[in-house]
Amino acid sequence: MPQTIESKVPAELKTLVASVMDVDENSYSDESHFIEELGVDSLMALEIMVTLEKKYHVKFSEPELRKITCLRNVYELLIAKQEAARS
Amino acid sequence: MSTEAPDNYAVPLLALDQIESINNAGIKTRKAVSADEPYFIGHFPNCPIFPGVFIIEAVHQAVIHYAANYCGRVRMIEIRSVRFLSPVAPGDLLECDCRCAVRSEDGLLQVKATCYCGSRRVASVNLAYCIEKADDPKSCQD
Amino acid sequence: MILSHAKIKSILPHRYPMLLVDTVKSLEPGVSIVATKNVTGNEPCFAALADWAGPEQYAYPRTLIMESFGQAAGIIFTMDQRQAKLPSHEVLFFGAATRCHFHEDVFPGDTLEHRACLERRLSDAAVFSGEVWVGDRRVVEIERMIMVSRPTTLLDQYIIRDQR
Repeated sequence: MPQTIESKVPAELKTLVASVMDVDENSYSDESHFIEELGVDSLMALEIMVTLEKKYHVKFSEPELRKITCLRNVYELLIAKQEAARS
Repeated sequence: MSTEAPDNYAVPLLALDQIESINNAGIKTRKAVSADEPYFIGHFPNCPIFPGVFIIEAVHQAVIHYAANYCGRVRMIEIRSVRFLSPVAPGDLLECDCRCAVRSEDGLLQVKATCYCGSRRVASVNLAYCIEKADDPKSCQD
Repeated sequence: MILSHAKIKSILPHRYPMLLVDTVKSLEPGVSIVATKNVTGNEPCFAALADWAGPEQYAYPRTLIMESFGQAAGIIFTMDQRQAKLPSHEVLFFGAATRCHFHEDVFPGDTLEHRACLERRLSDAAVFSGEVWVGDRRVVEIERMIMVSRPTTLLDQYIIRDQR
């Protein structure tokens, strides 16, 4: 579904990522650092990205998979992918 | 509190040496990983690593013990999620802290376990079990 | 591509009693695999059962079904690397799994048929999905399993070596 870039990450994305990280979606913010604050390791980051690839029909490159540090990064990357797919 | 070897269901190893604590909310268990356990020669030759699935088995055996005390016979229906964070090797003491929640309305037992070797977190394991009805042993089968 | 047990042993580092794949019935390298494991009453896991144990007590441990599936999936992973064996300085680890649903038990005499697909491949990890069948019955569904390859040096800081 087309989305415009909003200032806040959509709830659906936040819920999806929270379920992979196995945390309460209200317990972290868009800027919470995955590694430093939420204990996300590289394996969990991979799981997050794979889940998103399936749900939103996008594909991340390996360097992109390794770069995400917080939910906002994930969202911005997802938007960029969707925009690129449409153009 | 120690536990006897299960002789009533097949297990790949004895994954529970001691019960550290058990109450309605869950169970904490210990298993000493020793170099002379028979599976190490094959996993792997000259590089002994405790199989990740045996960490799941340790949680499972803990849950069976919990269930025997708090909700009756259970049957594992799903590994909801499992994540292996760090390898376990001979000499480690594997500790499983299993938080158990019975959902009577669904006849389900949900288990969220965190496994440690000392202060090092080695795995997180989420399992779902079906609680067998006493009068219908096949109640959990698809 | 059909692989014999001898060929499987040249691909996987696992050995008795932890080599849990017997044959490969079909393999599309880097894509999918159909592999089998026979469950026999002579497995180590049944040795400690009391003589009076009933038939339902011979259910093959579900964790071993997962291990067997993971090894089968790993064959896609290792074979993808130009059909060469995984370098000996690396070890294949079970990294994570999500929603593995068990429908029914498996017993001595059953043949596990693992049908695994490679969903995503990275330089040091691979994501699989699949199913385990016994005959015409689907006994396990695996939504996602992630295998990772890591250097054996990773273990050095954790292993307490035997002093012999």
